[in-house]
Amino acid sequence: MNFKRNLILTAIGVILLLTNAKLNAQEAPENPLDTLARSLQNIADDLNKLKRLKITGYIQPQYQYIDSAGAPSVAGGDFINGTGKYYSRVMMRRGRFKFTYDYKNVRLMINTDVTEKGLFMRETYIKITDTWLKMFSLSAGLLQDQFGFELTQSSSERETPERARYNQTLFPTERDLGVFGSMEFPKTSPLSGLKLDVAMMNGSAGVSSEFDSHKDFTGRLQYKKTTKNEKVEFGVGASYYYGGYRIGSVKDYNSNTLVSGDNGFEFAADTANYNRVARRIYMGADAQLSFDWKAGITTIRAEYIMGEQPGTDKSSKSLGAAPTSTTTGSIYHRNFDGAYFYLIQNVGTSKFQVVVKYDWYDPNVKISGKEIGKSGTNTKLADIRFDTYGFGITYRMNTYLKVIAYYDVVQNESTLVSGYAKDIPDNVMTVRMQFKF
Amino acid sequence: MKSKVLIIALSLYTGVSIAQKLKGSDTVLPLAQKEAESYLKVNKANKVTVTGGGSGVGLAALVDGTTDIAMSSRKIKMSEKIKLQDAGKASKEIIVAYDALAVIVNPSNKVAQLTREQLEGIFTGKIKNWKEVGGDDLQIVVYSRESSSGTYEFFKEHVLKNKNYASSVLSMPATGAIVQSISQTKGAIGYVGLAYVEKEIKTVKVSYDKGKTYVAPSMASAKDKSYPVVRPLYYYYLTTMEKSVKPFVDFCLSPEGQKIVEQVGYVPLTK
Repeated sequence: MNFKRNLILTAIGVILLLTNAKLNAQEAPENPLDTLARSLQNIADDLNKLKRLKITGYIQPQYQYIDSAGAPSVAGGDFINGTGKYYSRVMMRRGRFKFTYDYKNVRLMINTDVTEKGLFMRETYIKITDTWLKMFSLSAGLLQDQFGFELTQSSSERETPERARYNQTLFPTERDLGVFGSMEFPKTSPLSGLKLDVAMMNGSAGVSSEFDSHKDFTGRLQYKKTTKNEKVEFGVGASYYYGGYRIGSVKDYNSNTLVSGDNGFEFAADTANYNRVARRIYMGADAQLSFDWKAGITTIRAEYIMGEQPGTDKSSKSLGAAPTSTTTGSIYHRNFDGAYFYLIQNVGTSKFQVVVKYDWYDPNVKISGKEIGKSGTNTKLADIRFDTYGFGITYRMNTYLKVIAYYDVVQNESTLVSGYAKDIPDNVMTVRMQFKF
Repeated sequence: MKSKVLIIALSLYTGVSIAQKLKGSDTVLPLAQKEAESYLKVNKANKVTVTGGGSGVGLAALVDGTTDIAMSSRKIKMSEKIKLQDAGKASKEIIVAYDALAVIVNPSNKVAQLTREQLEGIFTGKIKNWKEVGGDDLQIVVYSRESSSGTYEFFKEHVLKNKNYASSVLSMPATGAIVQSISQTKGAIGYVGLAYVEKEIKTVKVSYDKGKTYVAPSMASAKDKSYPVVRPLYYYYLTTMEKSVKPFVDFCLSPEGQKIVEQVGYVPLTK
């Protein structure tokens, strides 16, 4: 009986307590300022979460005209060799959409390229920055190659439509799979302006998975400084690439002076060659100078690269596979060099900018001119040097939109290679619009 | 009828309100706020909003197009000029006032004067105790602005002769925070613009001739150029925006505007 009575009393007590709490809540409504502050805090919290995700990118539709139909080109790829006169084209050169998610010291980045050719993944990586000194970072995934200045400069910021021919040959995708560490001294350090990047990559140009279990090393040291009066900015850098392809062929060709006295490739077949590494070694130096004067900001840039590059009889391009010639089953070892020079002039304080560029790529420095293609030398199209003279004008409408008109004069060596006895007609005019957001 | 329409159109045109945004240097902030208040009393139809954040923030906003005038306590950097040009923009630089940078300590500190070399020693961490510069046996607590601040860069360049701040220096996000911290910490030292000098803190006389003469930071010493740590304060705006920002800028440069400069505690431009 007592139990029942206690139970009823407890139930009544709980009901009264709940009712009282409700009544109190009704009697003392929350201060409107507190409500507003709470709402604002909730909005701020949500906004902070949303701010972790950033979407940036740019699109580059362009019109191009080339001197002859079907000509090979590095200005956005070869022109179609159709039955008609295919001299011109409209294309989406790049359509980049970059998604960056930052949480504390960790960054996730996905960079895609959407064009008429389809959807391609350009970069996907995780980057971790040290929280103590904030001068070290480590990235892993599909990453940008770290060699030289032009290669690491965004295509949206570059003053010319394309990178130099040697960059497009040695680093065709400008990306690779691997791990990348960076050390940049903070403003407060006496070594402020100094940056060191080191990377260990597959060497597969990011277009295929690892195929030979051999890793490539890249290092770049750069220094950048501005004078006290903020009128002159300069930078210098040195880069090194040490890597190679493990090859399945026993046959290879080395550049040498032949028994005939000609320069060319000497053929060798040795079972000891099997499974060895064909070396990819690049050394480069670069310099940049910008100064602000009466005519506007002037920028001069130069870069030189030299080294060893394995390739096939047809190409010295870095590929996502070991470069074994389909016709001879052999690998060709070449010593190359290349360079570029930029002169960029902003026209006073106007929206116009003019640019002049010269670059060369000599895939085989041991042979030149009419030696190339000579009988018995085993030299072919892949050994021809190209010099490119480019000039253009850019109109920057606003922060987002710019238009560039650019003309490339492309010259090749006169050789004995069929079709390359003289300079082929392959000059290209490009008119490009860019919207960057 | 035609003339009536014209008059109405003209009155509408002149009556159009102009909204202007100023963003940037915390040093310039109190000056710009006072200038804006006085300007709006005369130009009631206009609207001026002023926010701080640092010189770098203001100049970045000018590139992005999110401010009309960038306030800065340092010159625009080369990298910022290049960004502006890349955006098809050109900026104009206007010096609106000068600022004497005062070295401040806690009022209980008996040290009243320091040479530039001693300041360099203190801020780079070589001098750690007040007794090394004639004070009490007390550890020195050094306060500075964050590296994005124009004041931070000016002090480093002109007082520390480009030597680096000690890693033990406490970085503060705003000048007001430095004043507050120094007023509450016995062994503290820092630097602020003359406009931020209050009773709760004490200014120190500075010598730039190795102790021969010491000069106190003041309006008079800054005006007669005897005080050595003086810098210009800038407005930057886009040349395309000149028409809309010029009335306000002209007001700041006018005798009335320069009077406000002095009232706030900065040094007016000399003609």
